[in-house]
Amino acid sequence: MLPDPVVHLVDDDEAVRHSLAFLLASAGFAVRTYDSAAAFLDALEAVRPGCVVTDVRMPGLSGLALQRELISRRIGLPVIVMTGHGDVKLAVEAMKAGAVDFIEKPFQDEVMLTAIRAAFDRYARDTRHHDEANAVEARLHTLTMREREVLDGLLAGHPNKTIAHELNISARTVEVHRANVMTKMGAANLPELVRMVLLSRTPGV
Amino acid sequence: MFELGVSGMAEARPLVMVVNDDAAMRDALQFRLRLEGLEVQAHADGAALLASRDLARAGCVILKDQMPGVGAFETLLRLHALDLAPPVILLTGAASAALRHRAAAAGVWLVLEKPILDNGLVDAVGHALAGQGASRPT
Repeated sequence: MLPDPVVHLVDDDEAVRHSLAFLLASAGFAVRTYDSAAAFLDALEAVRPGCVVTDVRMPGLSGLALQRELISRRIGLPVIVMTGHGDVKLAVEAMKAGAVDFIEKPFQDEVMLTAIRAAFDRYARDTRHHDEANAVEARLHTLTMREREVLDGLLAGHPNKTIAHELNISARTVEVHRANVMTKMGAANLPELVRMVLLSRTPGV
Repeated sequence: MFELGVSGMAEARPLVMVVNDDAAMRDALQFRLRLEGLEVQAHADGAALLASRDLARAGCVILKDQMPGVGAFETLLRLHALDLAPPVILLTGAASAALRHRAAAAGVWLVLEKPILDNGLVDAVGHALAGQGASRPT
């Protein structure tokens, strides 16, 4: 069973925490609240996947600083930042620092709920991408030197003959290596092989 | 065999049963529905729901998808085994085609995807209560 994604709500204002937590819970989202960025970072090890909703202005560690801290710790949780009215400069900074969305207060419930849903979807997508890329990476490591060279030739779009010539081996041998590469990589055909390897080389979208 | 409560339809307010493993969600959903004047009972999992003596009175059951213990689909099976078929609303984070298909096959009345916006839940429950009986002759 997949655990429910959780909205981690970080805000120093108790009234905001309460009302927003209620809104999120009645929309069907699991919520955990933290009264400061530090409190959230302390709990980070046990934190369940989902997203972070935080105010850009907070005493102590601000939402912006929290966001930077998460990135430096390589925590890939999407962050939604709430800004005060007219805080355009901070909003822009938050987006530059990698926030997935910013929401200007006061906001309509629906705006927040839709943003959270999008953040959840994004997190799930990133995680899937990451897992797949890791699996491909692991399979790449099982290739021999020669097989890797043949793979590079295939990715460059070269026919067997050219690869054979470049590696100074027979076309027949290239065929054997090529078959081994396909088997080890678990690819059914060349397009699949190419897609797989390219995916492992691109960062999450 | 089973003690099925004698229904005093006329005087009783409709009873809605909420099954959700998240306490905050349970409270919030309960609160929203009570505001509508409904009688609401909330349970942390399917087992608790099935153990409720008011079960036969339930006019609508709201089950959350992905619960530990007795989950939504297991609960549906057991409800049907008890010859109970209240309209069931399945609350889910991801209403994939596969889930919708499975839900339809299991007799779910409505799949409701999160986030529940505005009066989405209240409206759904209202329709479920109004359509009950007519839609499910046994």
